[in-house]
Amino acid sequence: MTPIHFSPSSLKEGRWYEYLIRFALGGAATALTGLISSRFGALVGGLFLAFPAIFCASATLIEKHEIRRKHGAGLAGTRRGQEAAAVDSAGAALGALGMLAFAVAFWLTVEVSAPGAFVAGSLAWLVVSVAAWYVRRKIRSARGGRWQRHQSRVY
Amino acid sequence: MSSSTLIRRCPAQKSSLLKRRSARETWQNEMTEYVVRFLVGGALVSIFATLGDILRPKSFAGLFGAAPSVALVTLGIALYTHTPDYAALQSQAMMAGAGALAAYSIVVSNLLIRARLRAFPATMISLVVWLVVAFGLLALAGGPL
Repeated sequence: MTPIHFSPSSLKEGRWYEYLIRFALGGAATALTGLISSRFGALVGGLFLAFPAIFCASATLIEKHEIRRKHGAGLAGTRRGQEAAAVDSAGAALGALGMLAFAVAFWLTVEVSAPGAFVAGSLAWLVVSVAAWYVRRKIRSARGGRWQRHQSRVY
Repeated sequence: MSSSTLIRRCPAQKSSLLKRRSARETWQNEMTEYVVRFLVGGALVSIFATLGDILRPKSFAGLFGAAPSVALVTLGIALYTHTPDYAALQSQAMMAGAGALAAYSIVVSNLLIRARLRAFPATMISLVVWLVVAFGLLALAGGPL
């Protein structure tokens, strides 16, 4: 199983305008959520706290970087780009579980302590997301091991 | 005639001037709030997104695509401008949004792999899924629909 690690060289793949687009989209999403809350109330505004506004840009950038990398090796890279974006999307599905944990922890603690609510929520997000990711990896590794043993028996 | 003279001589004018000043201040406060939302929200989203860029494996990095960056800023401002009750209400609705986000991400993943769509159309089309699931969950939970 690939260990978790940092790959700072990935930052070189990004262009300056891509970072600007992400900043602008993130800022716009936050401002828009505030506008929706003020026009339609806390409930509808709260829904949009989990709106995937930035995900569109992130997934597109990931696909683009993979294609660019493959072009460098003389390949089309379209399929590889789609796969990379799909893997990121699967990770985001697990992250959504973490976001649910954040919302629950925040809701339970905010009326007791506001700073505590942010700490509790952030920790809940991190713990649940990482745990979900880890469990999924283990399941996939176990399935991969069973498939390899099946192949060695059949062939 | 100076504005101070006007105010002394005409109560109606005074009332109108005060109302305009108050409206201008309210507008300025609102604009300041939105600028703060934009700058802080943009910064937080960029930080989490950059973390996602440099972390490996990619499936782990994808967790940061669902980081509650917008929520952190919005709930912080909600606590500052409203009450903890208001922020609690928003976080309750956020649970429905998170459920919709999970459904959205799964649909995007399938559109990319099975339907072989490119990332941009896959993510845009799937927004319909998010909207339907989010408002559906909110309605099921007895929200204002």
